[in-house]
Parts: sequence; C-alpha cells; structure tokens
Amino acid sequence: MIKAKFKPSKQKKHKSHSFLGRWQRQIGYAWHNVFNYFYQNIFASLLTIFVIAISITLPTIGYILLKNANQAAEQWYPTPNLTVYIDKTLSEEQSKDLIDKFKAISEVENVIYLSRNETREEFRAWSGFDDALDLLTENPLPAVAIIFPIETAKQTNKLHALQAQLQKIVGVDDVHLDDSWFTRLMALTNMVKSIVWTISIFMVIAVSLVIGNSIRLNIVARRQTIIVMQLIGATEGFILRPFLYNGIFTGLISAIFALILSKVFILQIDSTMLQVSNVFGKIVSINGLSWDESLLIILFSIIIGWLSAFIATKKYLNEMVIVS
Amino acid sequence: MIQFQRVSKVYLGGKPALQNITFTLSPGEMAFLTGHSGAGKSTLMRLICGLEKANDGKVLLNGVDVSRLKKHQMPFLRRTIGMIYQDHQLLFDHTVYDNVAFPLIILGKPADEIKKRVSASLDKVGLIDKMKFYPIQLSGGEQQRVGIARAIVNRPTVLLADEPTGNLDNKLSKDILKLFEEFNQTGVTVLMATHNMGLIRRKHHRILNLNQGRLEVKN
Repeated sequence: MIKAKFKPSKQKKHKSHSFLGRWQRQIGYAWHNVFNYFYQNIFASLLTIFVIAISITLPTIGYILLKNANQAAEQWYPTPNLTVYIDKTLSEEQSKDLIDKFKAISEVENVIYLSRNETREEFRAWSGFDDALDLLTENPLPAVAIIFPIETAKQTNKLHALQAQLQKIVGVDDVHLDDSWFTRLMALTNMVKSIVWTISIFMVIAVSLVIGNSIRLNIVARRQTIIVMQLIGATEGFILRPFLYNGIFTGLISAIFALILSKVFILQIDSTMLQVSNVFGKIVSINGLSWDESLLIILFSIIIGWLSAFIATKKYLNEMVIVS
Repeated sequence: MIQFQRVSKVYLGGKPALQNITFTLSPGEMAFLTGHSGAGKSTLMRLICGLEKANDGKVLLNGVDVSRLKKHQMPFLRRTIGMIYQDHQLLFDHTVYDNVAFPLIILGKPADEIKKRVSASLDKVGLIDKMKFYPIQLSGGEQQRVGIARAIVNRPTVLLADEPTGNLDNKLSKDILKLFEEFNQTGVTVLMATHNMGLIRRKHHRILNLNQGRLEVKN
C-alpha cells in the first residue's frame, strides 16, 4: 500500500473556512441534491408538479372570475343612492340647513339638492303634464335630496341603517332606498365568494398532502443515505435542508405552471366572451392576474411547499432516528 | 481519551448487554476489544459514539460524558470520531469518491480541500485508482477500505472499528490491521473490536476481553 501523510493536525485558518463560506457551500450542496433528485425522477417529479399546478389553478380561476364579476357589477350598475323627500312645510332656508345636516353624516359622500321649484321643472320636462300642473294652485312636489353613500357604506345592512338614521331627522318626510338589485347582486357575489373560498381551502389541503406524500417517498428512497449521514455526524438541519428546498422548488414550479394554465384559461374564455359581447352589445373582456397577484400566488405556493415539506420531513425523520 | 466508569447497559426486556464496565484508554493508545459474538463488543462501541445510551455509569470521551449529551449535540461528537462498521454503511448510489467526501461535505469544506483530502485518504488505503467506481463494483475488502478512508478523511483523534476484518481473509485482515497500526503511530487512539484471536496474537497492544457483558483485562 502506498503511504501518505496522515496526521490529526490542526486545521489551517483560511478565509474559506469562515462561517459564511461553509454555510454557502452547505446550501449549495442541498440545492444540488434537489436538482439531482429532480432529474433522476423527472417523470414522477413532473407528475407531482402537474397535480399541484392544477390544484392551484382551480382556485386561481375562481378568483379571476370573482374579481371580474365585482368589476362588472361596479361598471354596469349605478351606485346605490337614497332619495330623501323633505317636508313641504319647510322654507328654502330650513331645507338648506337640513342639507348641511345630511352632509355632516360620516357615511355620506355627496348630496344633490333639488328645491321644490326645481323638482317641478324636472317633472314638467319629463312627464309632459305641463297643463295639469298649471291647474294646481300649489306646487304638489316636495324638495328632494339625493344622497350618495361613501364606498364602504355600500352594503345592504349599512344602507338600511343610513336610511333609518335619515328618517329620524326632523323635517324629513320620507327616505326611499331602491336596493333590490343591489341586494340580489351582493347575495350572488357573496355566494360565489364563499364557493371560491371553500374550493381554495380544499385545494390548499390537497397541495399540502401531495407535497407531503412526495417528500415521504423521497425520504423512504433515501433512507440509507439519511442513516449514513446521521452516523457520520450530519446535523438535523443538514439532513432536513434538501427536503425543505425540494418543497420550495416544487411550490415555485407548480405556481408558475398554474399561472400559465390560468392564462390559457383566460385566452380561451376571451374568445367565447366575444360572442357574449355581440349578444349584449357591450364590450366584455376578462381581466387576468396582475403582477402583484401573480407574485402573491407564487409566494403562497412556496410557503405551502415549505411548510408541508417541513411537517412531513420532521415526522418521518423522527421515525427513522437511529438513536432513541 | 476514552473512559468507562462502571457502565451498564440493558436492552429493553433482555439480559444485560454490559455490566459494570470500567477501563481507560489513554490518548494515542491502541487496544483490541475481543469476545464471542453477543459478548457486547458492538454495544460498547455504540456507547462511545452515542448510538446507544448507557443505563448506568459514565462514558467519557475527551472528558465529555457522552450519555449526557443532548440529541442536537450528537452530530458534533460523531465528527470527532472515525467509526468503521462491519457492514461498511456505504452509499451504493454514490461513487467511492463521494462516499469518502461525505464527512467533509457535511462540514461545508471548500471543493479543493475536499479533493485534496479525499485523494490523500484513498491513497492511504490504496484505492486511489478506484475512486470513480461504485461500491457494488468493489470486493468486500475494498468496500471495507472505503469505509476506513471515510473514517479517517476528517482526521479524527479516535478511530473505532467494529469487526473491520469480519468477512475478510487473513491476508486482507493483516493489511487492514497494519493500516490501523500506522494510524496509531501518528497519534490516533484506536479501538478495534474483533473475534479473530489469531490475527492479534503476536501484537503487544492491550486486549479488552468481554465475556457475557463483563470485562476481563489481559496483558
């Protein structure tokens, strides 16, 4: 046998022995491991990624539809407003004071005031009963204030509360709130929202299980490696790292695939939307995800990947520990 | 270096594996651990590197009580020990080179240093020309030498060998024993478990003989 120097000598101090260098190399090794495993099991890995991608795509599409439905609701329907009929006995001055009171309410965005004369003119112009009005000695129409609520108050219960509040003010004859379409629309969007939420929660669970299971298979396949690493002094962190990175990697790639699939869905539905546009005589188009939203989905997917990998790895590694 | 103070070990529901073991191995000493199969040789080895916990007594390595170490401290203990296993514990999906490099990768050593040290280590056991092979392509004796190269690559101060010559013929056993003696001459403390009395008969090193879990010191 050839002899070589073997001495348990002291380690030389060297720049590359620094903590940062060591850390970088260990992380590099872990990532290297992840990519190696990915290439060695390319088919299984891609299968896992597609399952996760589809699981993420479904709630993403749900979200896109919900977002567009909300936008459509804002575009197509007038903002809900309250019509206040002011007591006919009030003078013009008193009516103006009343309007100031309305404006002081925090839920009120804007008030349009129509005096009794103005309402009469409007009625005359719209109804065509000029002659009938002339027969009357007194103006039968009250002064009207149209109240526009602020954005956050555009909810059924808040609008009703505002209506009740206005009703109580002295000098107010009646408050009319036309919100039947609004209530229906809100109920519909709320239903869609809760459906999207339920699907999302189920899909998140599915994604966690899929990632957890693929990590479990990965651990079983590398059982011997893990045992040897424990025997020669690898820390738990070192053993965990490749699995955690695998979770992050799977989450990232799946999210990117999911975004591509959602984009395909939007393109596909846009063509059918054109037909809808023709029928309704209105330009309808689907808005896709913004950069922020896409980034959020990627980040969310990465976090799920990391978390489920962490839980799975901790659980299965503890079962495998060589020392009790 | 290695100190056992009245150590006892009982496996769950079994008879005692080790009873009241007391001995001291000074730094740079070489000793053999002998006894029949089941006498407790492996258990004693596993106690030193923390793979088992003693039920009673103290196992000291460099003055540190091994049985008191926490789980997260264990890896750092094992890094100071070069352990050689009878069943090699090699990774069959990695090359000889990668197997030997593993302890250094765990420490995050730079690539050039790993290359240098792995080459030196493989050179030492005479396998430098087979570093690109996979363990399955090697003979039993060669696999054992890969295990030895991996144990010495991090320059440990203690070398524990559990039946390293278990499945080898006489010529190969002698080679490996010679290798351990060389390491010992460079100041490494060596404890080698074997049941092959013929192999160590003419050696002058201390023999710790285990008989049904009890220690009988010879020489």
